[in-house]
Amino acid sequence: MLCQDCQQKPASVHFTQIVNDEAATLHLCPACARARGLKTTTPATEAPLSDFLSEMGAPIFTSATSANVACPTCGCTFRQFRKTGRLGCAHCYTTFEKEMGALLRKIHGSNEHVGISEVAPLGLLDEREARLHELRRQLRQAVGQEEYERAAELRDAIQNLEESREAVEARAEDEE
Amino acid sequence: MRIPENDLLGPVGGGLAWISGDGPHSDIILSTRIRLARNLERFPFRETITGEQQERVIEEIVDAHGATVGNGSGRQFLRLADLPETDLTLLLERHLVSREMLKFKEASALLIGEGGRLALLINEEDHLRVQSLTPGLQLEASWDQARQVDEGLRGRVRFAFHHRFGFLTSCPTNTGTGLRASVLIHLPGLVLTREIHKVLQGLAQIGLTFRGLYGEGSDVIGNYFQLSNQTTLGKNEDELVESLSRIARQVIEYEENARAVLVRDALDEIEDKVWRAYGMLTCARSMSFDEMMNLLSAVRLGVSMKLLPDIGVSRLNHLLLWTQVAHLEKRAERQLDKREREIERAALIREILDRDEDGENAA
Repeated sequence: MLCQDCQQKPASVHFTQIVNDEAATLHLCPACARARGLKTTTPATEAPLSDFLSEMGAPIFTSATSANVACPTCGCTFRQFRKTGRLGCAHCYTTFEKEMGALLRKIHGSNEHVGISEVAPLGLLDEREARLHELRRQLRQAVGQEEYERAAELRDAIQNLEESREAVEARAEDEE
Repeated sequence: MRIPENDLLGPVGGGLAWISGDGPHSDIILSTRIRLARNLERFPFRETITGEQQERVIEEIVDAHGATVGNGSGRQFLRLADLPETDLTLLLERHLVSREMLKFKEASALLIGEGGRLALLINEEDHLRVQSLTPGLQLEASWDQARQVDEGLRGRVRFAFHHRFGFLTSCPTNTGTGLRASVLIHLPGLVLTREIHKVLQGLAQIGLTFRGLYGEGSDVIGNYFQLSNQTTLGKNEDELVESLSRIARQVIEYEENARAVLVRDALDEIEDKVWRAYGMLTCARSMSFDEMMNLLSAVRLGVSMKLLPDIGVSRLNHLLLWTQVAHLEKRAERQLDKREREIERAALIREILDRDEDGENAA
C-alpha cells in the first residue's frame, strides 16, 4: 500500500482517528506521518537495557547541549546517566524530558503513562481537572487500542465535563 | 526439627505465609509476586541521596505505613545493617530482600507485614519497593494487596510523578506504573518434552521475560522459571496484571499438555524417574543443592501427576526453602562448610520426607 499523502513511498504508519463518531484510518509513510505530527508506537524490544544503552549512544543524546546540561536539582548530567543507567533525581526526567521521552518509548514501546495517577494529594488540580486529565488519558489509550465505542463514550464524558466547567465559569462571571 | 521461634528470621510461619502451598495451582506455581517501585518526591534518587536523607526516607515511609495500618498490626521492622550475614542471606532465600538491597545494606531497611506476604523494601534501588507475595497463582489478590498499601501511602506521602511518564524511578526500565508482576512456575513437563524453548521464545515475543529462582541474573535450577512483565509503561496496572495472569494460565495449560504427552508416550520412564528421585532423596547421606533441586523437581512432578504418594505441596515448598545454605546454618546455629552442609541437607530431607502430614515421623 502506498502512502496516502505522497503516493510514492510504502505506507508503514497506520493511524486511526475518530471523526464524527466514525473511525477513519490513515495509511502513511513515516516521513508524511511526521509531517502530520503523528507519533508512532514502536513495539517493545526484547532486551530493553542493552537497546536502551545503545540508544543512549545515538546522536540525539550526544549533542553538546544535552550532554552538558546538568539537572538543576541534583547536578546530574546526561553523560553521567549514560554511564550509570540511573537518574539522579525525579527532576532529571524534566531536565532531560525530550531524551527521556525517546528513551522510554524505546524501552517500553510507549512513553505515555496510562495507569494510576498521583493527582489526589497534589492539591494543584481541582477534582474536575484531575478527572478531565484522567479521561483524556483513557481516551488516548482507547484510541490507541482501537476501542472506538469506548473512545466515543469518553469523548462525550470529556465534553460534558468541559461544558459544565464553562457553565460554572460563566455563572461566576455573571455573579461578578 | 529445632527452629528458632516467632520472628521472620525464624520459624516456618515467620515471613513465609506465601510458601504455604494453599493457593490456586500450587503444584505448578510456587508463588506470585507484585512489586511496585516508588520514590518520595522530596528526596533525590539513590545515585545522589545523602545518608541523612536516606534516614528521613525510612522514617517517612515507616510512619506513613504505620498510620495506614495502625501500629498493632504485627509488622516487623529490620535494619539490614544490624543483621549478621547469615540472616541477610536467610532473608534473600526467603525472597524478602533483593540482591540489590544487600549491596546497599548500610542504609536499607525492611518492613514486613501479613506474615511475609507483604514487604516494604526501603532504600533499595528506589526509595521504596512494595512487594506482595502470595502462594500459588493469585495475581489479582497479590495486586490488590500492593494497591492497598500504595493507596494508603499516597494519602500521606508524595511520590515522584510526571504527568506524562507516570511514577518516576531511578532506572527508566521501571518508570510509569513501577509495577513488576511475576510468577514462579515449575515446568518440568515442558523441559522433558523439549518444548520449553518454544514457549520461552513465544513469551519473549509478547513482552515477558523469564529468570531463575532468585530473580535477575540468576540461573534456572530445578525447572523453576520466574515469568514477569518486561515493560511498565503504556499499559495500566490492571492490564499488566491481567495479561500476566492470562499468560500464566496458558503456560499451565502447556505444561499440563506436556505432562499428558509424557503419560501417553513415556509413562514407564517417568514413573521410574520420579520414584528414583524419591528414593535418592529419602536415602542419600550427602546432597548438593543443585542435585537436590533436580531430584525435588522430579518428585514435585510425580506428586502433581499422582505417580507418587501425596507428600503435600507445602512440605515440598518447605524442603525447597530449608535446604538452602543460610537456612541450614540457621538451623545448625553455626557456620557449615560445604561437606557439612551436604550432610546436614541430606539429613533434613530425610527428616521432612519421612514425616506424616501431622508432623509425626512415619517410621
